[in-house]
Amino acid sequence: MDSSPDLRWFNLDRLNLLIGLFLFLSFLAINRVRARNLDSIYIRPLPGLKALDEAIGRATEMGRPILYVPGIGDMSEVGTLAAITISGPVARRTAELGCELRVPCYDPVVAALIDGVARQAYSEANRSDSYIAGSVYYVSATQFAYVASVTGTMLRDRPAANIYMGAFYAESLFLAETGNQTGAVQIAGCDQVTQLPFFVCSCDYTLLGEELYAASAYLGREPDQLATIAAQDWAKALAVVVVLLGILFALLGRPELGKWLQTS
Amino acid sequence: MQILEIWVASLLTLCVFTFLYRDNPLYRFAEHLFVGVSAGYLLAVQYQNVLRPNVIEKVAGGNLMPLIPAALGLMILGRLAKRTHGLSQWALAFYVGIYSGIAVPSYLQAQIFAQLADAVKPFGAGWAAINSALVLIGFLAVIAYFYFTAPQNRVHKAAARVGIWFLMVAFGASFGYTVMARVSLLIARVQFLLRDWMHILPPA
Repeated sequence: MDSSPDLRWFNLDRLNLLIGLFLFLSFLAINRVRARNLDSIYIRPLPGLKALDEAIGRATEMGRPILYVPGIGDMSEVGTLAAITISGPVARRTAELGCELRVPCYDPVVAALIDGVARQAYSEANRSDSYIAGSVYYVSATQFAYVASVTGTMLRDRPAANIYMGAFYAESLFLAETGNQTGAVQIAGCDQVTQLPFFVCSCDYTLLGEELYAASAYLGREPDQLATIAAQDWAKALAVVVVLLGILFALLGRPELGKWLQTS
Repeated sequence: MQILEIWVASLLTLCVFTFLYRDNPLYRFAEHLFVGVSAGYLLAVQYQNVLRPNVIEKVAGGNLMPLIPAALGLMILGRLAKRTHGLSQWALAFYVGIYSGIAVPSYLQAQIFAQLADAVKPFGAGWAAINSALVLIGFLAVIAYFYFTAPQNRVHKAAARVGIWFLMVAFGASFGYTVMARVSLLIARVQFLLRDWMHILPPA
């Protein structure tokens, strides 16, 4: 029996993924042109984001820090990428208001990136001198060691607001419940469906799933990010059409479309 | 030795449980011990499982290619000094680029195509048709909720409201399921304390 690997440049079983990717990229290209005029793309306001500003303002008045928890995902998770993006506007606002920001990180690379983003945000707010080196710090890459440290910080330093953005797993309830007990304003954004219920129960505002991705565009108001959200919406509209057509064809005894969507 | 392990595990468990009352030195001791031990453990694991087999042994065997990722890794340490800070940006850019490239196709496959393929199914007969109709209505309503770039008119708003109800029902089910799993973990820990440590419960 031949056990040599089958080396191919392209896996034809995944042609559907390539077509999907090209379609999305074309949506993105069109919307990038549209987004040059920022007013041409509307994004529905998200209540959780309006609260973000209030929470930072409240923390400033109380003289307490803001705790920004970017989850325990690594760079391969889209939620983590969104958490890094959102950390920029949050850091900028804390810099403008003179509020202390603390960001405990699970992944050292994420810590390095958020540190860079926060430094940049302080610089853009002309408050580079106010940035405290070490306010974005690595804790531990062990899930519950990270939880123990973050919950300890919540109880000892009593942040006025806890902001959870990113990819969360079993630690979500531990963090959000402890934060709730300290009386802090809590805003969460997570794309893990199994963890969202815990944030919904114990936080004041929760960004559900894709709202997390939209949040970074809404806060940043950068043409590229707005274009991404618009392209995603076009893709969703296309998905609705594909599903309706697929069901219709399947009812007529032609299930090919459903089979074509299946990937190996 | 095993008795010592049980005592250490039991006392540390109790230290962590004291958190239910309030933050205190016992909890802080367990917290710092946990963070410190995990950092040391991960360092050893990274050396044994990543650095040694992938870099040291290969380079010693004459293969110099692993020196490239090793150099990128060392460049991240450039962050420690102001003069070399820029070096870390190159390594991080490479890291983010690679991971984004990996994430996009796998996300497309797992989160979009797999779900679409599951949604495109003919309606079953009898009660199964009601189930299929509910899935379709839920799909359309939830998509309506997550459509961000159009102002919500009356129809869109109504559909989005139905969508949020579907989401909340799903969250409720998930919440109950996960809480039961957490209760099982608590039961296992209490059994450990009562059986292995205090010998109140009979051996399993």
